[in-house]
Amino acid sequence: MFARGLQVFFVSVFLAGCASTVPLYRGQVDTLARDTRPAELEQILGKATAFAQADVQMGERRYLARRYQLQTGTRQEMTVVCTPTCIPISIAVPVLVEYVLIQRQPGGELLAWGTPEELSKDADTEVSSIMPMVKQRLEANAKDAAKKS
Amino acid sequence: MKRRPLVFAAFALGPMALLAGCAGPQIFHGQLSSLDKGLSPADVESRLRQPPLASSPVDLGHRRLDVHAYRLNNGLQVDPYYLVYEGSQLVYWGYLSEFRRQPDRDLAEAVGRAQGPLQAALRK
Repeated sequence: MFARGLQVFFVSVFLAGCASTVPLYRGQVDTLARDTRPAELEQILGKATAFAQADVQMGERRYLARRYQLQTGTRQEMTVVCTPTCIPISIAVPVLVEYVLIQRQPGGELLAWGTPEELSKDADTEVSSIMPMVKQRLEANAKDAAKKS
Repeated sequence: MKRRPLVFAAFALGPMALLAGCAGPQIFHGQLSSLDKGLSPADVESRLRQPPLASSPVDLGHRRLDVHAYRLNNGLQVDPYYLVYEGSQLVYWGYLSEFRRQPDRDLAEAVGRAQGPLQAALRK
């Protein structure tokens, strides 16, 4: 009875994991460079889920911004499973931070990547000056996507 | 039986220690992404929903900067966090280590000079 309960519990945890978005990992981000070509970029990003994206125009320049979740590590959480005997179980829960990639359009050259905070105070004024609009658009598009789903 | 007072003390003092760690005005990491270069001190206060704990003008001769200090709760501990303005516009924000590794040396110099006057307010 206990073993079956535990089995059901773990299957449900794994299924919940499959249903959620796929995060980015440090290994992927570490391979990005200013000269990363658009096709190469898509290959690096792989199946990572962009949970919001936005086209941003600043004067003559156009940009595509995409928002991902970067997994920076895991934390241990304790839960109690009762089947009917109660035992504490440790679960690894991913620690995620918001991560943004910005490409110049129409060419798709990679301009910047980082957390919104890092990009907002970037030394490159081309990056920091578009961030207020990028954050606003991404937030609005993420809300729209959430409403539709 | 002798262990009872110790257990009681641990239960009583634990939450008190936690509350002491949370005491005083502080900002949180999630609020930092709302900051943008060029914001005025009033805009920043509005976005962070609190004024700085202290501020200090720094005259570098060729540049006049204002350093504002907050305390940032990163989930584990509370650390000093600085915002620097030039001409009432936000130019950079971060931990002291972030100021030291960004390219504008004047900003790191300004925070370094302001640290002394700001320390007393941050310790309160």
